[in-house]
Amino acid sequence: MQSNNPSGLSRRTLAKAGLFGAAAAPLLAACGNDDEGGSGELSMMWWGSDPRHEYTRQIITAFEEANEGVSIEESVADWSGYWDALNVSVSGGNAPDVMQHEERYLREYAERNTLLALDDIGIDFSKLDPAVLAGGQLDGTTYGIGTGVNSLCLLVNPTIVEEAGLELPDDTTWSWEDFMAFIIDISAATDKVGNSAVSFNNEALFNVFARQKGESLYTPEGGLGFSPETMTEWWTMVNEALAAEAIPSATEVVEAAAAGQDQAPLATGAGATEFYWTNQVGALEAVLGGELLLLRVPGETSGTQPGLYLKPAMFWAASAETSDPDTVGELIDFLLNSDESIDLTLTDRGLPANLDQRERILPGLPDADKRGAEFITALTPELGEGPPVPPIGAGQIPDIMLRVYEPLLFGDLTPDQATEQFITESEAAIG
Amino acid sequence: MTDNEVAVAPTARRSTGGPPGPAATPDSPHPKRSRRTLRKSARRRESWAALSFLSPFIVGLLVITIGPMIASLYLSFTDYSLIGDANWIGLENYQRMLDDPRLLASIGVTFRYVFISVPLQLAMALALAMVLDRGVRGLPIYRSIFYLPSLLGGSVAIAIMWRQVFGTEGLVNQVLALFGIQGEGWISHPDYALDTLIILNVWTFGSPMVIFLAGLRQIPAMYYEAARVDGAGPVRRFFNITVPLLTPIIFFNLVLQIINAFQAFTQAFIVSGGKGGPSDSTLFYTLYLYDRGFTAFDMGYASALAWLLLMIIGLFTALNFLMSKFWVFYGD
Repeated sequence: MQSNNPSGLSRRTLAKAGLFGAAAAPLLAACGNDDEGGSGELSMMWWGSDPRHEYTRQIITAFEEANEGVSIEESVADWSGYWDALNVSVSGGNAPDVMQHEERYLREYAERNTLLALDDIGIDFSKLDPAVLAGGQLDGTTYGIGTGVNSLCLLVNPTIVEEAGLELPDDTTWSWEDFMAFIIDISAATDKVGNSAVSFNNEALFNVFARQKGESLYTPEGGLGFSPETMTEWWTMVNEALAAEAIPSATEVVEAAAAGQDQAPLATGAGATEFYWTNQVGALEAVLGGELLLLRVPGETSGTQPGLYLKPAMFWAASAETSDPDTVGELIDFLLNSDESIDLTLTDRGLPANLDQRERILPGLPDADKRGAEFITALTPELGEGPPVPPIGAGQIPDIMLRVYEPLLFGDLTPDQATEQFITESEAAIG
Repeated sequence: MTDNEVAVAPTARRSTGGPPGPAATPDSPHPKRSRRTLRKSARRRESWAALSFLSPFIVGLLVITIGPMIASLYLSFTDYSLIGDANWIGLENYQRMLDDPRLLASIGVTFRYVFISVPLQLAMALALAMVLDRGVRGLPIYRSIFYLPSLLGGSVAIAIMWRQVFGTEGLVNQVLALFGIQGEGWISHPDYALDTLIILNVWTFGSPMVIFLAGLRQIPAMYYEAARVDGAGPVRRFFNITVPLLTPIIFFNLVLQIINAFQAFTQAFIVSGGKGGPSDSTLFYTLYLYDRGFTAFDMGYASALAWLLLMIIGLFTALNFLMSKFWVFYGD
C-alpha cells in the first residue's frame, strides 16, 4: 500500500511498457538545454494516475503562460515504473529538473548529491507547515518539500457494521484488543470479512504500532528502532485474526493485494474494514458506491504515546544538475503556493503543505476529501513528533515485509521467525 | 574463386541499371591488367556494398549487444548503484553470491521451471504434431490455432488472464466445483504458483510443434510402409522410425526451449506483481536480477548475476551439444 498509488496491475504493466519512453523523455529534453544558465527550458517528472497527469498538465500550462519564455517538458509514469525510469535518467546524466520524490528514496538521492538544495532559489517557505518542511530536510538543508500530508486511518464500511448489529467503537480510546474483537464479531455475524488484511505488511502501519510503544521503525541514525518483541506481538495478532477467520484465507489475501486498490475487499464491499491513507478515501468510495467512515488507528491512548503521524504524501525535489535553478525555484513555488496550482490539486497530493491554502480550499472540497481533512485537523493537536527521514535502502522494506508476511499467513513461518527474518534482511538492506 | 568474381562483377553492374562498359568485357586491349584492376575495384566495391548492407546488424550488435555486455562485465566488478559512481570492488559481488539464500532460492525455482516445463512442452508439441501429421482436413487452420499460444504466451495480457483463471474464484475452480471439489487459489499459493507458470509455458507448445511438423514431413513414407509390411505396430514404428529420424529436430527444440525457459521473465513478473511471490515461490532468476538492479539499487551485483546466468545457460547448452553425440542421429 503506497500512499496515493494503488499499484493496480494494469497501470504497472502500462508503465513498464512506457518505461523506456519515460526514461528517454528527459533525455530528449536535456538535449535542448543550453548550458548557459536560465534557458527557461525545464523537464519535469512525476508519478500518478490519469487524473493527476491531466490536472498537473493544466498547472504547467498556467505556469508557462505566467512566465514568458519558459517551457516545460513533462514525463509521467505510474508508481512502480517511475523509480526505474528516474534511476535510469539520473544515471544517464539526464535527471529531470523538477521531480516528484518520496521519503523512502529521498535520503538515497540526496546523499548521492543528485538533489539541489532548495533553500535559496526563491521558494517562499513562510506559509508552509514547519513540520512538513522538516520532513524533507537533512542536516538543515532542504532537499525535498512535502506537497501535503496524509494520515493513516481505519476505513469502515458502516453498512456492514449495521448488518452485523454492532455499535461503532469509540476510536479515540479503543485498543488493538478492541479492534480484534470488532473484526472477529463482524466476521462471525455476517458473510463479510472483518478486515481484508492487505495492510499488516505496510511498514508505516507497523511504525504506528511501534511508536505507540515508544519505539519506532527507524532511528534518526538510520537503524531499526523497534524491539523484536514488538514485531512478534504484531505477527501474533495477525495469526490470531487468521485463526478466528476475521481476515480472509492466505491465498485470498495474496490475491487481494495483487489485484490493487480498486479490487480490494473494502472497495468491492466484501470487507468491513481496512487501513488506508486519508487521501485514498475518495477513490475507494467511488468504487464502492457508498460512504466510508474514518476511524483512528487503534491503540492511540493505550500505549505510552500516540503513534499516528502526518506523512508528507510526496515531495517536490530538483536535480543538482539543473541548468536553470531560478526557474526551478519559481516552478516549485508555483506548485506549492499559487491559487491556480492548489485549486487544481486540492488534496490529491495530500492536504496542502501551505497552511493558508489549506484553510482556503477546505470549504470547497469534495465530501470525501473534506472528511479526510477534518480527520487530520482533529488529530493534529494530539500528535507527537514525526518519524525521521528513512535511511538509504528503505525502498526495499515493503518488499521485505511482504516476504515475511506471506509465509506467515501460509503457516510457513512462526511470528518469531518472521520477526527474525525481517530484522536480518532489513539490516542488510539499510546497511 | 577468381572466375566467380569476374563473373559477378558485370552482373552486379547490370543489376545497378548501368549498361556493361567496355572495360568489363574480357576482350579489351589489355586483358590481364584490366582484369586485375577490375577484380580489385570490384572486390572493394563489393566489400563496401556488403558492409553497408550489414551495417544495420553490425551497428546493432556493437551498440545494443556487445557494448552493453562489456559495460555490464565491468560493472559486475563495481558497486554501481544506478545513481552514484561505480567504484571498483574486485570480486566482492561474486563472493556475495556464495552467501545469498535468495539467489539459491531463485536458482531452485528456475531449475524446477526449466526441467519440468521444457520436457512436458516438447512432449505435448510432438504429440500434437503427430496428430496433425496424419493429414487432418483444414490443417493450416489447426496449425494456426495451436501456434497462437506461442505468440501470446509471453505477453502481459495472457499473464493477467492466467491470474484470473487460476485465482480462488477463477475458471479452474469453477470447473472443479462442478465435480464437488473445493479448489485452492492456485496462483496465490506458494505450493502451486510455480506449477501454474509451468502449465503456461507448456501451453505455448506451438513453435516447437510447427518445427516438429516440418521434421515429420521429411521422414520418407516408404520407411513406414516397409515397417508395416514387416508387421511393426504403431508403437514400434514410433520408437524405431519416427524418434530416431526426428532426433536432430528434438535436439534443436530442446536447446532452444531450454535457453528460452532460463530467461523467462514476463509471466512471473506479471503474475506475482514483480515480486516473485507468494513467499518467493515464483522468484525466477531473471526476476531476482531485476529486483536487485532496479529495486535495491544494486546494479553491480545485478550485473554479476547476469554474467552468472550467461554462464549457466552456456554450460547447459554446451552439455546439450556434448550429449547430443550419444543420441542424435543425423541419418548418415
